Amino acid sequence: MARGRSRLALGAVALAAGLAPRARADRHEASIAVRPVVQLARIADRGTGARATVPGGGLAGGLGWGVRNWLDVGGEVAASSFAEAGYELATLPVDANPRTGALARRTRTVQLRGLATLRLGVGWVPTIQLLAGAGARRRSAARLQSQVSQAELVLVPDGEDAELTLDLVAALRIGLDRRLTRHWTVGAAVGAAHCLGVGAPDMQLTDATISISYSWYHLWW
Amino acid sequence: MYSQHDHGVATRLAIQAGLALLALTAVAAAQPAQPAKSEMEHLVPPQGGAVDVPVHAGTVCILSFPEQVARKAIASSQDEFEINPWNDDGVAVRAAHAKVSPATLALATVSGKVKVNVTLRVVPPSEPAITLVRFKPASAEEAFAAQVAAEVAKQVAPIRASLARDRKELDATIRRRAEGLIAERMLSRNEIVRLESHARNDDHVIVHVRRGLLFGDDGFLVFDLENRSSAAYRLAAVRVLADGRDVAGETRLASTALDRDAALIGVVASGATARGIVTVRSVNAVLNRPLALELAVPGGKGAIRADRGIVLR
Repeated sequence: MARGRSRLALGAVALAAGLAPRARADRHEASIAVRPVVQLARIADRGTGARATVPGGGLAGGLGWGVRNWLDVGGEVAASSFAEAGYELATLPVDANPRTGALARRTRTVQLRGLATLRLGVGWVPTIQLLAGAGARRRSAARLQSQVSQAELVLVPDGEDAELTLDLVAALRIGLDRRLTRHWTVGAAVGAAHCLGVGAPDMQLTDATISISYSWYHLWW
Repeated sequence: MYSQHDHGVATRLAIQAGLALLALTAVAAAQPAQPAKSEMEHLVPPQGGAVDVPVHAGTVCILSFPEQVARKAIASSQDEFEINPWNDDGVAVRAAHAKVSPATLALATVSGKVKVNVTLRVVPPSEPAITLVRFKPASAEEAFAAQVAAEVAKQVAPIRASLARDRKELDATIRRRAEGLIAERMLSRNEIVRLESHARNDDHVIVHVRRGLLFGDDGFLVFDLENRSSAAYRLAAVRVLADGRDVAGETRLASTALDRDAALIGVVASGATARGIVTVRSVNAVLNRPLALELAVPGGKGAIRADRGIVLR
């Protein structure tokens, strides 16, 4: 079933590429874009095998440069904040004694991503975007709710204070842009990303964005 | 004697005949030379006419009339020409040998409508000769016009030959002069200037200016016109502005589509890119100054203006 869906998606991409006008995109053009993002993050944490899915939102801004009429390269900075992720049962040491309870934690990220955009049109522009980069993940201190002698305590497990960790990021985004004038373009896209945590559990993201960008011919070189 | 009216008509006919002949001359100049005809038609006015007929020795020449010929012909020299009737309405003449001196032959039809004095002249085989002369009665105006036309043709013949020769040499002359001009300009100045300027309109038509040329007293801007729209881009005007003043000269575009509108510089088909060149006149006056290249289509919509990065140094 999954293989069938993959083939269908691949066929759709190929069809989009085939149906797109034989146009080369915007060579020599530079563009600056702003993207509000809504996201769903699938987050894991230590002390539990469960994963939490939490909504989030953020903002991304980037610069692009048309190296070919069909290919842009560039980079973007994206900042996101997610709702608190909760896990019903987690077991973590508190003062070296294992304790079990509900775990909650909030995550924020800032990522710097390089991107390559395949552009398959002129006025209406289907896009396929590949992104790779690195980011910082800020996690709040973990809060473990545990019952001790019929009292409910909120504890911070050992080694689970607020922390800043590094992520390696890879993402794929598919969208559709509409060039309104020689300068202004709007678009929408959906994407998926995988954040490989260095010193923290991995995180998966799915996002939907709208974008507005301004393009111009620069004289940098 | 002609009346005043006849003279006016004859003058008009002469002018018309001359004009017609000049037109025919122009047409004929463009055509390959025709072989000399061996027959002629001669219009005879009511009062009679004279005609000069070149003949080859030993060749029969027929003098043909529209009606019966009176048998009483008067010949100046009956010994050197054989003169015989040819049916009722013709006379056959033949020169006995090449040394025959010109002779005249007076002929008339029975009704008297055609009266001619024919001068027979033996010409060498290298010159064209006549083997058939058709005499036709005509009004005085027609006969006069024909005479004028014949005389104009005679006068115009050397001019026509000269014109044909000049035309033949014209292409070579133009090419030689153009090559000389180019060589002189190259000696004066011949530099390529790298430029980088791009601009587009809202219809996805983009102009790329990448190169300039300094060539003698003039300059040139080389541009590529990339049409990514769904319709042909019809280039009607190109301006090169320096301090608000248009310094553009001739423009050429290597069109990728045809258009019958002669007012257009060229057409770039949808999805195609075409190269163009615009002359910058007296380029010394605009050296080191920013230039703006403006392209326009008929009606002014879809204009493109590249105004950064174009400086000829």
